[in-house]
Amino acid sequence: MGLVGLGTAFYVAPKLANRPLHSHYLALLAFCTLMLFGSWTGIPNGAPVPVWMQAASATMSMLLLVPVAAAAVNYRQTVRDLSAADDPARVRIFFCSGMAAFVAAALARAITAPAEVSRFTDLTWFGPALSWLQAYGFFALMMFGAAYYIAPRVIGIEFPWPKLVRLHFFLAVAGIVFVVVPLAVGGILEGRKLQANVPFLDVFKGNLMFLRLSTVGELFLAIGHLLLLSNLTGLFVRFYQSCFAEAMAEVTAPIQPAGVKA
Amino acid sequence: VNFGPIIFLVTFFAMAGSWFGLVLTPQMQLGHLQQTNSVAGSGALYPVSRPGLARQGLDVYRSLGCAYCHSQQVRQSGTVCDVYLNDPGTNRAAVLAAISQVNPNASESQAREMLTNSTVPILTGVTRQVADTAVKALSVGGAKPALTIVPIGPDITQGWGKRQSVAEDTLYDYPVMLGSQRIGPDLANEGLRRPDLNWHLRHLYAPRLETKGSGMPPYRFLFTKQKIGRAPSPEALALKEFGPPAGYEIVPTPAAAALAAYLQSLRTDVPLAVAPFSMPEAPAPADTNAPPTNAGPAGVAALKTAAK
Repeated sequence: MGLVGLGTAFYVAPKLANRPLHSHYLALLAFCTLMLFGSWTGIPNGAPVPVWMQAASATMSMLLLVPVAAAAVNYRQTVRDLSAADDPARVRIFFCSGMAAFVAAALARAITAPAEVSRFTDLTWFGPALSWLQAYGFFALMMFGAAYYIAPRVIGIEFPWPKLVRLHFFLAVAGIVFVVVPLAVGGILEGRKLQANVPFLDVFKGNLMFLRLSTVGELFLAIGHLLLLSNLTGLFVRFYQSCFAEAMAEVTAPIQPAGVKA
Repeated sequence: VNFGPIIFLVTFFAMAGSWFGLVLTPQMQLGHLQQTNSVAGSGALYPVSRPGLARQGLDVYRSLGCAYCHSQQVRQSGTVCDVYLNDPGTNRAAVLAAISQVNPNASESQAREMLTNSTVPILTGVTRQVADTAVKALSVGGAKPALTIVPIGPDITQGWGKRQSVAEDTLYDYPVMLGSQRIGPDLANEGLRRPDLNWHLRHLYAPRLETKGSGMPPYRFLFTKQKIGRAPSPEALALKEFGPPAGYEIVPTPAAAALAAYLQSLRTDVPLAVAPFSMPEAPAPADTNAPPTNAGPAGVAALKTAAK
């Protein structure tokens, strides 16, 4: 998912900016190190596996900052002076926010990698918060941006409601913030309480308000999806309308008798 | 720019590297694990495979997605040592002096209590070195001090286990239900903490009956409501609240019985060489000569094995 998301960013960014990617070698470095380090991560500290695996996994989580920094710098340099004229629909905000979420998630993972920190975050709501940030904040935003960028170009007509694109963007960002921040804060508080030996039922009850807040965020996300759906539906309806009009024009056009020159 | 060969090579190395590191090496390290009788002191075999019904219950546990809310892994942050006096011996004055030397904070009455009551620890939460020195100092006048190993950590304090979970615990489970979150409590030792099968059945039917304020959803569909026949079914749940209307009874389905049997079978209460612990020796009942049930030095032997 990380590779596909990054690939999308590096595909769209040069097209948006109308210039080649800032550095192909930096992109290669990002992809290669992401594969090398990323495939080792994900083993939590304290799991019933040999300790060296946890240590290796934590180290790799921190090393992941290398590809993330490389990708972020490369993207930033490519789109650094993008003018509004190049990007009238302003789909760039999707990619910029997606990259920001990518960096934030990698930072959070690196910070919570050592066992001294991860005992507050492992097995709590902090894990789902990070998954949301990566899967939605980064990957889904990239895919939305790609859909908004590619679909009109493939079909050859503009979206019927370009303002809804902006609205979807704000709903998506608000939704991610409302999902990720409460879950992350709730997770850390949960971990702290469990470390302080608070009775489990009290810990559980303390989480409820954070879960309610994150449900509000999910509602924002759902509304955003409806906007994307209506825009895409409108696009297709327009497309078929124009096809139909063309066909009708052809059918109803006065027939030129063969051989008769006007 | 043609990066094809480089990308192929790096992808190959990345996949091969993580396969060697995360599949092959753990397989070489843990794949040979088998049931052992290296359980310190007791000679018992560990782990034992789950009984048939409990094995079926694992599948029910899996199908209901219990692992999304319940973890089955106890973590510990370390071990400390406690020192007890199993037998005060004959020279009480010398032992009393030794106690006040080992634990200068204890008042005289406390020291006397430590001398006579073998369940009162003389030292708690000390390192192995300190404990060893104390044991040596207390071995005067025929007194028999004992050193016990106590795992510490928030999970242990919550009462979720006596020691950390290790790979050996899950030898016979497939798939392993480690879980990734604790929306509900850890279940690694659920059978140890709640040995009552009927408690589990009632709790599955109506969690709030047993735990006020529980957030667990009731699993009513694992039970059937039936009319009481000639006599009430022996399997029917004894419900104080949430009960069926008069003339009806709630009986568990085979799935509920299997799940409850599985929950009852969850126990990792055996000290292992990789995860030692020991408990204070229980005083033998006065009227029998039965040996104490919990062998105190068991964990010490385990620690020695681990140190080798």
